[in-house]
Amino acid sequence: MFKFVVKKLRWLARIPVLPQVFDAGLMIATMLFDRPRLRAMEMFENAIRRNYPIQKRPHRFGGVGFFIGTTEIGHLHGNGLLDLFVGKSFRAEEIRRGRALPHHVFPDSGWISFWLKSPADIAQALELFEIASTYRTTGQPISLAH
Amino acid sequence: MMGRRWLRIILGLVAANVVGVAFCFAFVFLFQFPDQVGLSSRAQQWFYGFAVMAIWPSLVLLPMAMGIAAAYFWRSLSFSLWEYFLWWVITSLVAPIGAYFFFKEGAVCLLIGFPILFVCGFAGVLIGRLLFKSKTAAMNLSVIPVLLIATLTEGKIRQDEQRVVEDRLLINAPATAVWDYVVSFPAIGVAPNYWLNKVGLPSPLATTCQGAFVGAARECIFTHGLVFKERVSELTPMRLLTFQIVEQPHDPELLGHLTLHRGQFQLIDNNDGTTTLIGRSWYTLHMRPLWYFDWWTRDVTSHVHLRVMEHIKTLAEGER
Repeated sequence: MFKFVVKKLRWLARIPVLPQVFDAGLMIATMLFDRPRLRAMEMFENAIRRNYPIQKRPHRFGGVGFFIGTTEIGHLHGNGLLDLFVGKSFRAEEIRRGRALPHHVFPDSGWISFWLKSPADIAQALELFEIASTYRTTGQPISLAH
Repeated sequence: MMGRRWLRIILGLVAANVVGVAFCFAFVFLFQFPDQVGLSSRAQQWFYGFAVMAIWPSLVLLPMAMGIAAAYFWRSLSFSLWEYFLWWVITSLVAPIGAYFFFKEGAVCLLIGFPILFVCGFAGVLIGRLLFKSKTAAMNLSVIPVLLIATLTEGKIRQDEQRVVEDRLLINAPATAVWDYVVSFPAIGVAPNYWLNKVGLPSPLATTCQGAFVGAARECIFTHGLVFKERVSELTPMRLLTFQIVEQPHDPELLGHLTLHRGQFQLIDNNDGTTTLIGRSWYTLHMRPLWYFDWWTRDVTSHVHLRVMEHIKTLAEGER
């Protein structure tokens, strides 16, 4: 359903507050039916808050946006889908290695998507976040030893 | 420390519901104001115009404002997402329960309205928890009046309009066998299988009619003793029956929410011993947001149509 909405009904996101309402619906579904995912989302948010000078704000497409100043590092949807901007070169490599997915709406952009499904995914999500945050703040891609 | 925590939780709960109730009372006051102060007719016309523009409390934006108000008071409580969720469940139940007991609002209407109240309100809570975690919490409060203004203007861009619901059913009987049961039919013995009927929504039971002529009084009887008084306005034997709704029952599920104008049955003889029966209802919905409540209205009306039409089918096919 999420895929259908973001692909076919994307124009609805232009209506003020509708993305936030949709995301609240996703969050409620996660809360009711997928507690491990909810726990992972919450642990991820807390880890980000502890480790980065980051501001959390409502995102224009729903969910939580992570910002440094006015620069968006990424955002987390209510269903645990984490979107991060890592630049095109890093994106291609991470997707090739199967560590991230092409962005669910703009697959050819410098954005990647990553599903937070359980607390076991947090370490990888934080690695990707580190890359995104470094890229966004320094303008340089970094390479991590895996 | 614990006492302060509980106080903040309750303050959030109360603030959210005060925002909701205050907004609804403001609408009531808007409508009573011209009579109380004796405005001139032109001023009254302008005033009512404004009130009509503002009257439809948006069930999208108002719950969001309620959620944001609650989140403002809960901002320092370090709630987990789950706690936000649980407290919003309790907070959002207060308004419908209060409306049921104190304003005699219909239970089914509240049941229909609750999901959108809950989801949109929770969206407000989620937005509020992010807005008020920052150092500009006080400034971010300005989002509430913005939401309220947006709520007021929502009514302006959506005017009342008459809509129609249509349903079709194939009956394995000729139009002559179907027609008599279209004009009136004996009581439906089968229990309804629509879930809203099981939780209290009245379902059609029987129809009586003075006769098959224009001007004949007709009564559509629902469970719970509800009766729609109708008058036949158009009649072509074996083909068409249209009736105007002249009096709606004074039921809290309908009052102020929905106006039913007329109904129609059309029979199409398929020339193979079967008949296509078409049921139509024209209505005006007064609830907002329209897209949400219209979906429910169509679903409920369709189930009413099909319950009656299935009964007619059973009777007509039983004659063969």
